[in-house]
Amino acid sequence: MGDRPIQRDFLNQVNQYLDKSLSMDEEQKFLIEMRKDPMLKDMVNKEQTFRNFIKDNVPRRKFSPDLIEGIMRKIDTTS
Amino acid sequence: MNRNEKEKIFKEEILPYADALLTFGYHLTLYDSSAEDLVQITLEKAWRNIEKYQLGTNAKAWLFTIMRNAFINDYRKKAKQPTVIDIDEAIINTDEENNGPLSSYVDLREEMLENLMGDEITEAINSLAIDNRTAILLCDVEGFTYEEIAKITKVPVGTVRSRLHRARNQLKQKLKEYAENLGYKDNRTNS
Repeated sequence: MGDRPIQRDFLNQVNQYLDKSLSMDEEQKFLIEMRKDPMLKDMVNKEQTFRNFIKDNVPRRKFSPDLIEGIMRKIDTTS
Repeated sequence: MNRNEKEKIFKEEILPYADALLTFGYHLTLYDSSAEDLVQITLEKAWRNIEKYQLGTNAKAWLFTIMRNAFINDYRKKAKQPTVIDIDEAIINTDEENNGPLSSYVDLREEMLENLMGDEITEAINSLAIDNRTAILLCDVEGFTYEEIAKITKVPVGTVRSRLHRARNQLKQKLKEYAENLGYKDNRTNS
């Protein structure tokens, strides 16, 4: 990715932006920076794609109604 | 709080997170049946402590905190599972204080992800050290903030950040290996 080495601060900013952990001021500055820097924009896009991929593809387990019923029964008898 | 009120809160605010708890529980214990046990323990503890839960606050974060504590205090002790720690975490934590070039950023091409299946992703996540696995599940799968993850896992926010950095990098590396095994070649030069 690009010619310049990736600085930790640079990646931290990308992560904090995508994880919604920047303050409003920091986010504004970051967005201005991103418009000026194609490498930053490219990195944000890649990291966003990776996060979306994980979120969409981790198989979700489903708790069966029988188990819920069992828990409710147990609660009934213990309380 | 009378029993009817307790039951109403439990059914409306707690039970809707049973599936999310089961997914998290599976990735903690690595077994479906153990995950079900852990959810059961978590929900029973939630029921017993429901008067401590404040309506309208973050029920999901409260439940995940109970589950994480139950995993450490109840399940892991019973199962006599040794604590597996990530020996690189200390290095990463120290490294975080520096602001030099990263030696460990994994640049994963989008095309490499296209043919990967849920099973490979599960396997890759489950291969991570428990603390890193927990961080990525709570952040990227469940959408908790750094501050919420810090509270759930009882570590400083800086540690959450470094665990996430490490977890994402290791996960990308694993997925890259799976993609390469499926025949995908990254032909880029190191540009």
